[in-house]
Amino acid sequence: MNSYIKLGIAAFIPVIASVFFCLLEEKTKFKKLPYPVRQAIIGIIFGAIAILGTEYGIPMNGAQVNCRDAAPLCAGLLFGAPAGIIAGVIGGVERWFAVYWGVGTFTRVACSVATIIAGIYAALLRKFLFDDKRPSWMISFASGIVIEVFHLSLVFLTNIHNAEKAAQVVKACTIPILVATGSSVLFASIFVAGVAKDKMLIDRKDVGISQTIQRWLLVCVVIAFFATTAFLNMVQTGIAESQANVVLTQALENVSPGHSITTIGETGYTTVQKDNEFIDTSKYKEMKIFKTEIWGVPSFIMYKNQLDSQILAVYPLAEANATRDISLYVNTFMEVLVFAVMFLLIFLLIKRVVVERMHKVNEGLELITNGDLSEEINVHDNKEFTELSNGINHTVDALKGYIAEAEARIDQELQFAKDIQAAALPRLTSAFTERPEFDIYASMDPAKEVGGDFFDFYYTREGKLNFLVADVSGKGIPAAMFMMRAKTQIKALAETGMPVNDAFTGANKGLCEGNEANMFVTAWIGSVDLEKGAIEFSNAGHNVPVLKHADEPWKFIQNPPGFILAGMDGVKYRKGDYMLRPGDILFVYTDGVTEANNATNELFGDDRLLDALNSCESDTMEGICKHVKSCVDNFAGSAPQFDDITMLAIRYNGPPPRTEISFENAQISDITEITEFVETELEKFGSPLKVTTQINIAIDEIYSNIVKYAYENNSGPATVRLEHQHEPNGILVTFIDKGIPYNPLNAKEPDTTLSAEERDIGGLGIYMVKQSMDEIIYEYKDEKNTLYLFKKF
Amino acid sequence: MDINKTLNGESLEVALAGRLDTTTAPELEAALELDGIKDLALDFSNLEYISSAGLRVILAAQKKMSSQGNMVVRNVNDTIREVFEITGFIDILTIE
Repeated sequence: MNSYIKLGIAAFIPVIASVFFCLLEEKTKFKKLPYPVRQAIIGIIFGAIAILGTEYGIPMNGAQVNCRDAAPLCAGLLFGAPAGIIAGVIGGVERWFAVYWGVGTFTRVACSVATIIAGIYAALLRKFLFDDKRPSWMISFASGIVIEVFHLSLVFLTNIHNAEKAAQVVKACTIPILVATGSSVLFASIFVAGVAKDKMLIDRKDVGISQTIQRWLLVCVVIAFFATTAFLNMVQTGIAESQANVVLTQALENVSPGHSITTIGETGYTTVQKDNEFIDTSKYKEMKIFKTEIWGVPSFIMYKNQLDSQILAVYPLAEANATRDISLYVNTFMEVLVFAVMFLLIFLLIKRVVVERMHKVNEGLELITNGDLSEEINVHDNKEFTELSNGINHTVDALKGYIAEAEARIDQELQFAKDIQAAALPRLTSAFTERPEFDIYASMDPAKEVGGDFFDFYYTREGKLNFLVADVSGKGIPAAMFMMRAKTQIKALAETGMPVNDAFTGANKGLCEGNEANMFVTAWIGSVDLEKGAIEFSNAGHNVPVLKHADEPWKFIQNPPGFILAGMDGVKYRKGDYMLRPGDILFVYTDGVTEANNATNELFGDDRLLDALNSCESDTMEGICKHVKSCVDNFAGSAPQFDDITMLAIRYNGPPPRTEISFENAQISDITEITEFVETELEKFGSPLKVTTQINIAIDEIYSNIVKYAYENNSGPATVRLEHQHEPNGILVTFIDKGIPYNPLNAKEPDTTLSAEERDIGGLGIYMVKQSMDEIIYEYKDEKNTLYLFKKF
Repeated sequence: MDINKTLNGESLEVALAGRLDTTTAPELEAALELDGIKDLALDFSNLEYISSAGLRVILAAQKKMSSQGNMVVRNVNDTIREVFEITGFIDILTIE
């Protein structure tokens, strides 16, 4: 087999081993073995590969060529310092003893030492220059070249007395060994990087300062290397030629015609030719040195004419240039080594002086960027870094000032916003707390200063109680602003007493207009008829409320929600209804309750909500809300509140207690009793004296009408009922009789401008009542005349 | 209701106390004997209020007195004055 192919195969063994170990580390549990064990295994295997190289040297140009050094280099550079040293020592020591079983002794020292050094070199490089990471393919390749150059230099150094033989060996090995080891390490490096998915193509912004300087240094070093080598070659060639000139001249001068054949140096000689039988000398001058081939050997030649022949002095170029070649090799090798050392030194210096300080500055900057403005950067090792540190510290100081200023301003504005939002929520005034029909409590805890949740409750114009809980998408100021819009629109419509689902439909239309921010609202609204307990509700994508009836446990009101508000124009909302029985409690809330999460990102959830409600011992609405809130807080623990938490609890207590007085057979004398009763009740309600008087007059007028006209000639039942109303504060007086249908509001109004003689007293009573009351409504229903009088306090 | 009458020749002064309503108006109507009276004075100092039944009695008295003499109403409180205003009685009666 061609020896070049053999060498190629030998060079490929470390590559295969490297890829194998890399896959082992990436894909198997090999990585779980302790580091020393892994390093030992890798070191031993690569040591064995080095031994293989020694034992199967490939004969080439009369020398044994191998790429033993590639194994410790691969182990050290690609897998770790200890592995490199182990492989190097194994390979080197084996080479030392290999002479006993037939491996050449000439390069014994050089080969042994070079292999050990290769391992140590790779280990040091990886440990101290690359922070125990794999170097790039360029460095790997250069390392292979440098180590082999060192190896060849050692061949000279250890055979200083046999320089010519050393030169022959070196000459035979240099190119194959450099190519083999260099490419072995290079491909191992590239393939391993590919397997381990290291970044191969380095982005320009990722190229470090040291790498840039390395590149330019490499260019300079290569140019300097070639220039000095060419110059030295020229000079040494000149010297070799002039020495050959001297040797040949002397030989020709000394040769005697009788002894035409002598030797010159080791391989030179003189000879005699006739008629240019060996070489044609006609082109050359006598006694002048020239270069040509004789017997196929390139040589320096000089001739001298004598009689009919010529004496030729021949000095083969190989011998003449031997010294030049040795000095060229040694010089070249030394340059490579010196440049390599220089290269590493500069790399190390830059790393120490610039890169490490830069990292220190960057570490500080990272802390600052992450919000730790108290971090100071103190890199004062030289002028440039001192200036940089001071500059950064001053910038951070200035920044701190601005931030503090901005924070103060924002804090103040947020406080205003918070106050405004709090003011927009309804307060539990006496109009709500003093109503016997229900108990209500609501709370809103924003996650930030202001929130997107809100609740609302108010009386409709028909006297129903509306209550609402809603959640605007998002948090903070934008949500708070949209919340104000939503609250106003819904209330404006629902307050008129229109069905709650129609109020939602209308509010949705309004909220869709100009909703460029694509915010939306989920809401649940209920409207209770406090007389009967009938509740009508509508749900716009909101959490389903929970209800408690009598001693039963809490349960969700199962009713499918409609679409969210402000999501799409033209959506129609449905209406649900339910009959609240006295004592029923309704709990309405936002998803801030059920979606509160704890430190392990678990949600509070529906079941915990039911548990919290069922475990509540408080009988008040405030107690229920606070109990649920404390359950949520306990559950969340240290986890920050993520969303606004809003709750509303309402209990229906049944219709308002009525205050009324009834008579089976209405007669005028009842008025005194009625008036006494009414005065007592009105006093309880805090009625002003004037209102009491006006009510008395009204009772006198209306009741006397009932007595006189309702039952024609007979008498019948009559009832006067009093109800204290809160919105607005006033008294509702209701007269009920079962007489003939009669609407007193239709009575002809008296002309109050007539003179005494013309005046008729008829109709004046009703007229007075109409004038003094704030509202009068008549209805005939279920064969009863019912007249409602309302008077504000 | 208390009705306190003071007759002085042809002038009669009636002081009312309490409420002049459907129940009490007939009492006043019966108490007002106006035949031969030239000057009638109604003192409302202690009257709380008047309903339309009371107004009817007062209107009747005013009509009668217009033909035979003079009638004044005295010491009208705000509530009663308001009733007079609403009903237009303020233009008919002479209120002192």
